[in-house]
Amino acid sequence: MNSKKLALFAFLVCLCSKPAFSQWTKEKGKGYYKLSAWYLESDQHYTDTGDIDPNITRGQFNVNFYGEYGLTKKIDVLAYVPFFSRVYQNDVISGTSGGTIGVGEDLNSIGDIDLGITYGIMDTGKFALSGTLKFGLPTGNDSGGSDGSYQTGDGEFNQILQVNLGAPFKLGKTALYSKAYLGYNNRTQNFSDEFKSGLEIGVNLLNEKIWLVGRSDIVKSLNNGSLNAQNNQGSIFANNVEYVGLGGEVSYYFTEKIGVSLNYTGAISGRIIYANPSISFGVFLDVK
Amino acid sequence: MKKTNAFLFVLMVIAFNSCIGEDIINDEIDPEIRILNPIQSVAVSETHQYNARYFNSIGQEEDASVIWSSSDESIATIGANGLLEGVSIGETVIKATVASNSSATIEDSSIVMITMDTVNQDPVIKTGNIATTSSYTLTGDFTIGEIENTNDLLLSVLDNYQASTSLPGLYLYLTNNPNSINDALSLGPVSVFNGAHTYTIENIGINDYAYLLYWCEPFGVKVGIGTIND
Repeated sequence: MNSKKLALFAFLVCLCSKPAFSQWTKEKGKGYYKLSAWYLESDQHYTDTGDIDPNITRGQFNVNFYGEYGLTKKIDVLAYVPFFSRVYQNDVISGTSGGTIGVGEDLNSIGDIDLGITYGIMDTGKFALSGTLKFGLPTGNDSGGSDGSYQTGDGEFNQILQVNLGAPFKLGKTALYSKAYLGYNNRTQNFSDEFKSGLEIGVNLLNEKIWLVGRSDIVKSLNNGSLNAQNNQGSIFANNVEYVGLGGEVSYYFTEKIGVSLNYTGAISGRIIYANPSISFGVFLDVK
Repeated sequence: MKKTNAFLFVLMVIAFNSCIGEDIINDEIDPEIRILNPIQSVAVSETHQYNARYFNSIGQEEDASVIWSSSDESIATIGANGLLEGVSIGETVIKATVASNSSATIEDSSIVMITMDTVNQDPVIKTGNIATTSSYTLTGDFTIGEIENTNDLLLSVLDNYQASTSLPGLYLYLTNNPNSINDALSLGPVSVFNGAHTYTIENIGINDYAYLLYWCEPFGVKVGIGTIND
């Protein structure tokens, strides 16, 4: 009933699935919707000491929907729905005999769904302040495969409260924005709670045709959960995942509303998480 | 419509590539012949049936033609099938040899004392040290010994043992290949991460395995090893 891998998984997915370019709540009836494919293949991971150790190659793939919709000028609802999520591990082959030592496995399932609401606290034109309450629902499979480690969800109910601050600015004639957030993730099932923070900078090019975005996210465990390998044998990861993630995204608007995006994200440091980058590709509809 | 098709195409490409592949690991070790039941002493005119097992370059048991010899046949003789007979009081070295493809001879040897009277053999106890092969904490000493009047072994991990509780899916194996759990004997998931604890291993000989192997099951990698020393 645990999974740090899933924590990274969820983190990377969320990082790749964030709607671009807006710290500000939508106008009523406006929205941002994205259909994405996300992929991570990893043959190494950060251990509990922060060092990188090898592992047999595992892959994760999902197809997800992300949407934000403005209920009012100040209130948005948001949803992240990984409606197809796949986990697999490679066969292990003897380099000496060519025989199979370990047979690979896979699991297809729905992933954990996030639902949330954002409230616009203040928008002065120079900066915008908002708060988000998000619930991570344990809809994925948290114990799949022969050893229970093929997971598309962590089996626990996340409650994330975060404050977002954003500001547009210009460098010469180039329009940019920056935003930051601070959040707290209250977790159930004896998982440790988490402190989250992040920073994002975006630049608009070619008259709003292209957005280039850089993101950094930090998750720090409060180490207040009792879940560990001792009381939760068999699961792939124990508790207390930490990481610093760094990612970049490029989005191209074919029209005023429709575009595609490509995201590349990885953890540059961490504990008990994969050490390989993920990529995602999506098609979005931005109803402004 | 073209854009939708292109997106679906990319999805299909990614999904197609997220298939189960193959990871090839280096599991080669030196082959060895091992005498499974050495004995300290045999009385004159009494016999002892030696058994030996050949382990190939991945630590798997394999049929092999074993050549038995005694360094001093005036002390003890040994037949082609490994049956030793005490001849006179003294000490001799019993050797099991297997011909290999390379020029190196693969052999194991054991000293046996021929005595006037039968001497009861004490249960064999071996020792070892657990050392991490990863960046996870894993350390400690252990003993593994025969349980008297049984075919079982008692593995005692001593009180200086310590393992990281962050280790995901940690399992303990007895193996003849320190790099692989192929043909290894699983002792199950590790549930003790600090201090002394024991495992009773049924119907296993003291020389059947050469290593303790701590293995991260979900990651498919070893995280620690303990060589079983005589």
